Amino acid sequence: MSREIIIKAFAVALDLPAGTDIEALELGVNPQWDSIGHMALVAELEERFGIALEADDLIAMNTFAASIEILKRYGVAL
Amino acid sequence: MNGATPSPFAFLDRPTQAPIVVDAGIGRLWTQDELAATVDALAGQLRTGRRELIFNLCSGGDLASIIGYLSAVRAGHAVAQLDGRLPADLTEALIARYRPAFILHSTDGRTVTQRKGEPGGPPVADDLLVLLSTSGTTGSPKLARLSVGNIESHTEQLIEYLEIDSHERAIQSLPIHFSYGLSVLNTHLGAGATVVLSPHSIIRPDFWADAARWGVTSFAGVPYSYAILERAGLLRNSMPDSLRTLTQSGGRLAPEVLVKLHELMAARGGRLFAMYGQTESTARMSYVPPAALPAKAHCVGIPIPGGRFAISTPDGETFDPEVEGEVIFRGPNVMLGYAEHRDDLARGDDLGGVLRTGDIGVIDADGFLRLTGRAKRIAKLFGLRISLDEIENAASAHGLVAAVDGGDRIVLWRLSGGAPVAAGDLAIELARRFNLKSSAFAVRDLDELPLNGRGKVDYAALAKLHVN
Repeated sequence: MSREIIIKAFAVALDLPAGTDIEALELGVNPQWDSIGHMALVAELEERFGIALEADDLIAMNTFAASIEILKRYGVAL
Repeated sequence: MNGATPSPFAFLDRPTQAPIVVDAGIGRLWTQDELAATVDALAGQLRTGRRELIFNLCSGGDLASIIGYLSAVRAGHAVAQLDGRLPADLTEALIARYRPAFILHSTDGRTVTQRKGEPGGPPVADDLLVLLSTSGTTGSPKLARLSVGNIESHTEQLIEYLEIDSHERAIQSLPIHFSYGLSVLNTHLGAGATVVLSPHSIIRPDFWADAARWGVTSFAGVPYSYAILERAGLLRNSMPDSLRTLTQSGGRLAPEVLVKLHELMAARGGRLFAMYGQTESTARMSYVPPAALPAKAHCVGIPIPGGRFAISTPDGETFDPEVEGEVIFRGPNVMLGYAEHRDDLARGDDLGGVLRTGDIGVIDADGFLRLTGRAKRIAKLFGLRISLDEIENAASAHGLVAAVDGGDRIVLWRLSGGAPVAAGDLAIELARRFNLKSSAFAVRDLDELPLNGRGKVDYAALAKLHVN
């Protein structure tokens, strides 16, 4: 369930075209996931899950998989 | 400098073996003569025996964008520096409108691909050198026309007050289809210095590792860049020892943030330059000398060398302190004028070195310009003219806020989640400050503020949101 929400958050925050392979995205590699997109994504995830990400986690959140692992530590059930 | 005017293109005539570009992605250091040879080879393919227009579709501040830019100039043409990430239909519409001889782009950021357009189109004025969009990534056909003199004199102005010498190494953190990013490139080429290109986003530690590995001495950012770096703690934790200069332009940074950055840099023996400019002034009009901080953090500074400000009032122009009016800038870096379509490229100097900035401001007793608003960003409430920028500045202590004229009230858009103050409290605080009723403000939260391609708030998009 949460996984679906995270996928949705990526799609909305990064303005991803339909059919984008979200799990293969990488910060700074895909044009949509640039620094501005990253802040939008952070805001989207914080809003949806009611959390506040630490600076270090915000930086480490650079792939979909890494984001999942970090969100788990904030108690997001997957 | 040896007394010569520091042109960004001079190295092409007399290249040395000094370093000029570092392609950090593959760890390659380019010397001037290597880059000049690559540029000459492409320029040879672009020559047609007459002056043409070249479209250089830039994917950022990458090597291919730089080679495309220099090759177009080297071939004797005018070059439009455009956003290579525009949707294809917008790019094609620009091509149909401006009829460039060649369109340059790159898919890998290193090699330039060229596509033939329409060589031999209508004439291009002899002194026209660079065309830049004034509106970020909207694909608007309105371009600023910059002359050879604009580019070269502006390069000299910036080198002088930023004190850029051949030992400097700037990390090219901004794309070169923006006036700010292009000015970073031009000044470092002109000073015989080096630019470092990192393939990484500024929010990735890899970017800062590149900066450390290559001994980067300066970083350029827009307000949004500094907001991101602040949020991620990257400046405090990852800035390499070699980095001594931060520059900031492309919009107003909240004075509190500016002072914080100034203190961060001062503590390590470095400098922060807060600067103000427009694409119409090639890039810059003023700067705050670091020695004037924090006292002048609320100002946009003193004119750059060779420039001067005046304030336009109904009674004419004045240099008197504390008189409010539209800011007029004069200098060798004022553009020739705008272009809306191909025929405009034959035009001469429409502005004569005088730029009406559209910004409202006052000059203080020390000669520092303080902006109080934007001519067009005015809301009328209860018969009062209220500057939306002043409202934003006042609200900025509580985070990023975008103020929009909502007709009968001012709509304040802010980021949801990060807001440290309740919507009602913000409205009450602003009402008190501006002597209004709190019902004059509607505070709305958004998951993200729409930004234009320059990382600035897209007010047109916000206005539409309000209507809906």
